[in-house]
Parts: sequence; structure tokens; C-alpha cells
Amino acid sequence: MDITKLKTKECATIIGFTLPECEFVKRLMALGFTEGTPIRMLHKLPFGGPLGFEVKGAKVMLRRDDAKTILVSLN
Amino acid sequence: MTNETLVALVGFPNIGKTTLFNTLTGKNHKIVNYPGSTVDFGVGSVQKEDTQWTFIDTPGIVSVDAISSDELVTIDALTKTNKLLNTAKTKPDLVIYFITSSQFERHLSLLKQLEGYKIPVMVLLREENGAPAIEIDTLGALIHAPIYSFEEKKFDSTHIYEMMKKALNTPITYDQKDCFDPYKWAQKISEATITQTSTSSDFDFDTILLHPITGMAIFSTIMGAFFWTIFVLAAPFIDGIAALFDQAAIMVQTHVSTPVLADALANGLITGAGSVFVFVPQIFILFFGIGLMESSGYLSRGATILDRPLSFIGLNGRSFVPLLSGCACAIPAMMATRSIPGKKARFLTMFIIPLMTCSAKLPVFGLLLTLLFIDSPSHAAIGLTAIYFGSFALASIIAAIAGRLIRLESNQDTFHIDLPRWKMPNLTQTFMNAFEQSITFLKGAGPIILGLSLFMWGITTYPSPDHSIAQSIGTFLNPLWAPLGFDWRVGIPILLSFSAREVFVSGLMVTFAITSESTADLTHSLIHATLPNGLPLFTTGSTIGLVLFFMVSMQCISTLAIAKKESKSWTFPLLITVFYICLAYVLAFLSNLVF
Repeated sequence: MDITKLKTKECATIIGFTLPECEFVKRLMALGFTEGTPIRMLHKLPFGGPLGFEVKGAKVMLRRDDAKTILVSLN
Repeated sequence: MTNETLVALVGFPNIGKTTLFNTLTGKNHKIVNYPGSTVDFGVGSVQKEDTQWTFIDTPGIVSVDAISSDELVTIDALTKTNKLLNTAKTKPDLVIYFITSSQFERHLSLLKQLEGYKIPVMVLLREENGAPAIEIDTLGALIHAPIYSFEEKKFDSTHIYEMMKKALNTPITYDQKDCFDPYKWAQKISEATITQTSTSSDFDFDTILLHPITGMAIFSTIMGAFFWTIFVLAAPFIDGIAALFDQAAIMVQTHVSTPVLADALANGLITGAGSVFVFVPQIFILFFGIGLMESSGYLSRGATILDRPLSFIGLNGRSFVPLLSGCACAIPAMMATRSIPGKKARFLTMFIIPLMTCSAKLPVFGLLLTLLFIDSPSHAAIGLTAIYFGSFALASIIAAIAGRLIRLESNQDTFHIDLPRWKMPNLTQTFMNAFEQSITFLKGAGPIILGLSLFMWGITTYPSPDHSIAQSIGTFLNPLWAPLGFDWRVGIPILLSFSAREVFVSGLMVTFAITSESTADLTHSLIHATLPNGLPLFTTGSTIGLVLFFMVSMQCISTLAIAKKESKSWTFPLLITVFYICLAYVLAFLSNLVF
């Protein structure tokens, strides 16, 4: 499932991306969203606003449409 | 013989590069970084024994594949150093790379990517409370680079110099086996060196500050309080400064015996200087407020909260900081747009920055609102709030329309931001920064305003006050002001305000001080001023027209200069000038017609 489906405080592991490796996916990887990385949903801003994740010790906010490209599986 | 060693400070955003840079270079650096973040490189040199160490502070990056202009600055600093600095070297001699223990793995991945530039590296490891503990000797052996580790902000620059010398003498070695995937490499290293995992379990303030209800309420409160402070807290200081300059003018007029000189000093020089200094309280509060929000970490929260609404009008959450700075001054605001990824969002942000109510517009609005609400100062405050909201509304409409019309690729329009840890802001540091920025502003705007005030005085005094040059030119251009309901006495200050908006107020002081009997009170003179046909000059319609004119019109040469520099073309500054002046004129004309 895509990462936006996670509930707040839910943990999951990244299993891949919906896009082939492009500039944007590379950016997500640089931010810490690499395959096999455990992540946790921290914040969901209202009205379709950005989502906040804990990833590799950092707190990263992503626009919801951008986050949709990340696929995860629940632990 | 002195040899120069170029050292670039590189790392993720918000990692403490500028703090180290300031500590190492002391006051010997050129750039004043405005609040928001480092968007340009900073350079500073220190002489130690026979070596001149030149440090380059770079904007934060998360990857070597740059997607925004500020990130490109960093890549240029590493690959085309000779294009940025006065040096023959194409790359720095050394990189100081920043790693924190809390985000160890992320920071290691970028370190691996930097290997491609073949520059010796010294690692600066900040060990944070509650973050994983790291085996430093093992790490050093694995990454083949000298490491200087320190706790929180306690670093010792003597040690850093020793480590830098060591790094310069360390041959560059590569781990050929897994050179290709920096992320797997970083994971492997962190598994091998982390001895104790994170113990942090602090309460997370973001659960309240980014909460759908409380978060929005707190954001509105902070923004409201911020702008309220600008009007209310600055007011007594502004009155004080104005009174001081009035006193000075009176003193000069009574004590200087040559009438021409006394007049030039009092009505030209002192009036002009006064109109520059009255801004300082507001400019200072604006910069101080933004500085506080930055150093506490709130700016990135604000950007997050505003991303969704801003994306509707084609902007980006990262437009928040430039637009907020635009309420102080458009110049740092234009520079701050560099952190916006995607050409379209950046262009649109730069396009609407001139509409923000910058501090130069405030004295103009202050005067005009006093004219509109002469009996009730509380209504004037409401009026100013309406101007702020009106400007934001107009800016949104213009951005939305312009976004539909222009064709610029928007596929890079993404939003991501790291939320830094919450910090207690360093009040002394923030205060000093705001002070320095205010001084920079004074130095930049002061001479122009002073010069123009003297010029104004000259052209309204000669050959004689009743038939001055200004009056002749102004009367000749009368068809231009007549539709707005004004004559040359307002027209000439408008014309001069195209160099800098604030000149309008001192211009009025000069034109009206001469043509009316009462020289003491500008507001009084303006209210009783009449057109040749006996009707009042400042009617509701014409005054609101002037407010609209100053809200919209593009009247700042410095903004145009920075717009040219940032857009790298003449088209953009010409476009905003023509568009906003025409729009402003039409709005002012309509207001004079309707009310």
C-alpha cells in the first residue's frame, strides 16, 4: 500500500516506489526513504496538507501527492 | 610565503554550518545572511602562522543532485570555485562535512556521494543527547577521514585546525567494493559503528503545533501577534525618533544664521534623515521576529502548514519564508526564493513579493490612514490590517491568474522539508543579527533617501518657492495626476517615490511646508490643502486611491536590481515594473472616480 494510507503513529517498512528511478525518487532516497527503511507516520496536516514521517532519526514532511509514490508494508 | 587553503563547509540544512563559520572567521566575513536560511555562499578568511584559511559557508544540501538554486550554489562551490571566488582553484582544498549522531545514516549517505568530487574531507561529528552512541575509531577507519567529535555546541577551534591539517595530508582512499549505492554503504557503516541506540523519548511539541486544530490556531496567533507587534510596539519608538528630528530641525532653524543654509539643513537634510530613521524600529522588529521563528525552528513548521493553501495558487510551502521576509523588505525576500524547487513556483513567488507590505510602505500608509481616520486612531489600525489582508488577497489572485497564463515547467514542484529539533532561540544572537540587518538596510537605503530629500528641497526652493522647478515640471505633467485627483504638490513626491517609496512622505513634507502657512504639522497642512477650484485635495476617494497606488505600484530600484540578478534577465524586472505601475494607476483612478 502507499505510505499515505498509514494512520498517525503507525510504523511500516518501505518496499519500493510507484515510479522508476527518476530525479524525484532519487530525492526521496536522499531524504532517507530507501527500500527496507522503517518509517513512522507522525503528522497528518488537515485538508490534504503535508504528511510528517520519522525516518532515519529525522522528521521529514512531504506533500501528500509526493508521498503517494512511496510503497510500504505494515510491520 | 603565504599559501591559501580553501575550506568548504558542507552538510544537510540546519546542521550548524553557519554557526561554525561565524566561530572560525569571527567578524572577518562578507555576507550578512538574512533570516530564512543560507541561500548564498559566505566567505571569510583567517591567517594562522603561514597559512591563510579561507572558509566557504554553503547552503545546506541533502544530495548532490541539486533541484533548487540554493543547492546549485553548493555544487558550484565544490566544482567551479574559481567562478565564485577570486581564486585559480576549481575546487576547494578541503571539505568540512557535518554529521550529527541523531541522523547518522542520512548524513553518511551524502558523505559517500561527495567522494565523487575527489576532495579531502574532515568530518565534524556532533554527538547529541539521547541520540545513538557511535564508535568513533571504527568510523574513522571505515570512512578514511579524520573525525572531530564534540557535544552539542562545545567545539574547540584549535582542535579543528589540527584535524584539518591532518585531513589535508590524508590520501583519498575509496572502498571500491560498494562505491555505487551510498545508501547501502551508509546503512552498513551505521550498523558497524552504532553501539547504543537512541534513548530519546522527549515530548514532541509538534503533536500540538502541527495538530489539525491547535496547530492552525497557534499559527494564526503567532502571525497575528507578529504583525500586531510591528504596529504597536514600534509606534512609541517611531514617535520618539520623529520628535527628535523635529527638535533638531527647529534647533537648526533658530541657530543657523544663514537662511538658505538653515532651510536646506532643516527641510532637506534633517527631514530626509528623519524619514529614514523612522523605519528602523519596524525593520528591526520584523527581522527580530523572523529571526526568532527561524532559530526556534518554527519557520519550517510554518512552511509545512502553508504548503497546502499556497499550492492552490501555484506556490509552494517554501514560498512562506520569502513572502514573510517580503513584509520587511523585498530584497532579502527575492534572495530567499532560491530555496524553492521548481521554476514556476519560484517565478510566481518572486512575482508577488513586490505586493507585500514592506516596511518602506508603512510610513506612507501611516500618513494616508491618519488623513482618512483623523478622529479615530483605532480605525487607522483596522485600516492597516485591511491593507495587509488586501495585499495578500490581491497577491493570491495575481499568482493564481499568472500561474494559468505562464508556461514554465512545473514538474519539479514538490514540497519536502526537514523539521529541525525545537530549540530555545539564542536571544542575544538573534538581537545582534536583527541589529546588523537593520544597519545594512540603513546603509543601503539611507544615502538614496537623503540625496533625494536634498534634491527635492532644491527643486522646490529654486528659483523661488512660488515658481519653483518642481512646480513647473509638476504643472506640465498635470494631466498625469489630475485623473487621480491631485496636483503637482502630490505628483512630484509620487514621481520621486519611484526611486524608493518612503521618499513620498519626506517629499510631501517639502512640497507642503513651502506652499502652506503652517509648517509644523504635515497632516494639518494636507487636510486643509485645496485644489485651485477650492475643493479639498485629499478626499476619501483620492486618499484611498493613493493607498491602492502604493499597495500595488512597483517603486523600488533596489528590488528591480535584485530581481534582475535573481532572474538573470531584464524581462522579469521590466514585466513587474510595467504591470504593477499600470495596475496601480488604474486602481487609483477608479477609486477617485467611485468614492
